[in-house]
Amino acid sequence: MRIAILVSTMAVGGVLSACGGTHLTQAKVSSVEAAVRAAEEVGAPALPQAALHLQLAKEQTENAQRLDKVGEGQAADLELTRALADAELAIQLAQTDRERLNAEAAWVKVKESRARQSAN
Amino acid sequence: MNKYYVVAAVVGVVSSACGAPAVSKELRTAREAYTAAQMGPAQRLNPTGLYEAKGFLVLAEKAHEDDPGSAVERANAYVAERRVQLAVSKANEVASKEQQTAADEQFKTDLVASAERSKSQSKDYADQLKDAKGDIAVSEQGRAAAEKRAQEALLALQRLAAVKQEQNRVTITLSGSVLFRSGSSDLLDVARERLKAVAEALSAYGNAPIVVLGHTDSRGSDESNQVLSQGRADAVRGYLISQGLQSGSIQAVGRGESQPIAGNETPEGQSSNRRVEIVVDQSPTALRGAPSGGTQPAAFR
Repeated sequence: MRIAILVSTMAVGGVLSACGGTHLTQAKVSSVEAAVRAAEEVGAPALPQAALHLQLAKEQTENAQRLDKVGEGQAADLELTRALADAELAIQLAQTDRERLNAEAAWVKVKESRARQSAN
Repeated sequence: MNKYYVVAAVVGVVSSACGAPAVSKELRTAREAYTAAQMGPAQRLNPTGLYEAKGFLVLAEKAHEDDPGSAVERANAYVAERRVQLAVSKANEVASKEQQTAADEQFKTDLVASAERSKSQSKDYADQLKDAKGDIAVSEQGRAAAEKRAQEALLALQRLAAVKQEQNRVTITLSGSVLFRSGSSDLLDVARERLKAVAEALSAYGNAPIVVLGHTDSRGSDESNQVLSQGRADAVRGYLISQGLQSGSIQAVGRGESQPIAGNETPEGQSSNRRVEIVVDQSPTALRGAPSGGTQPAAFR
């Protein structure tokens, strides 16, 4: 899913270099919504920095839909691009924190094992 | 990318000098973030991620060239900055995984080392246990041999005198008339021969405490009988020591006429009361250490 999100980001980014469409496509909206859900599933709301970017993604998505409704298609498209970038960053931050905790736990296990051996 | 960066930098300088549109905040932030990330661990641990971020930065620079400060420039720069952050975070994730791998390897190494130490200790303990079992076996053999000697000694004594075996003591009773002349504490020659055999049998009891008790009949005064009984007990003690028994293990006590075993009204009773008793203490506490000749063992009190 991460690879699909990265490809969709590049596709959105590629579109940005050309003229934007007049309306948001459902595919783009779905990509962003999927990334937001993924961020929530990996625990982004529990990590302050990740939660911030997740919130930005949600706000930008709402802005995009609002802009689309009033006919500001290109602006909406750019806003959705930002939302996707923030959602992906929230996912990565949560994953990185999980691995950090795993590494810390692994070293604690080593220290505790050595302490037990010393005690014996 | 470098060409665009240089161009952007020049444009920025020229713009600031000539009043041209300034670089957007988003683009400035993206450039700074990318430059900083290039000097960090992301360059080594996640070059692909940095390269992807660079792609968006290039788009932003291009948009700035075409239309400085445009929404396209700012959006691409915003995405570029976010992608730089993502690349750095991914690099940190990789570093954490490396740390976890290192910790797991260290844990395994420590376990192996601990197992080796335990194995070595177990061997030491096994050797110590083997030695201890050997010592116990030797001690058991010694105890069994000592018991056998004591039984043989008892049988030998029973051939020489009256022997009474109680729980923690053996009492050998020798008639006074066999050992001494009447009224005397000098040993008769025949008494020495008998006492020699008694000493040989008593040697099987090792350093077990022994008390020689002298007794008389009731003829004469209490005081004279006490002196006579003590003299006779000392004479027997002295002879036993001369035959090799430890002086520290043997005491001599005179009881006078205080402990008759028969009535003193008849000659037979008086004869029975004139006796020497040799009492061997076989209690465990006594066997742990022979008395020095001072305090009387508990079995004799």
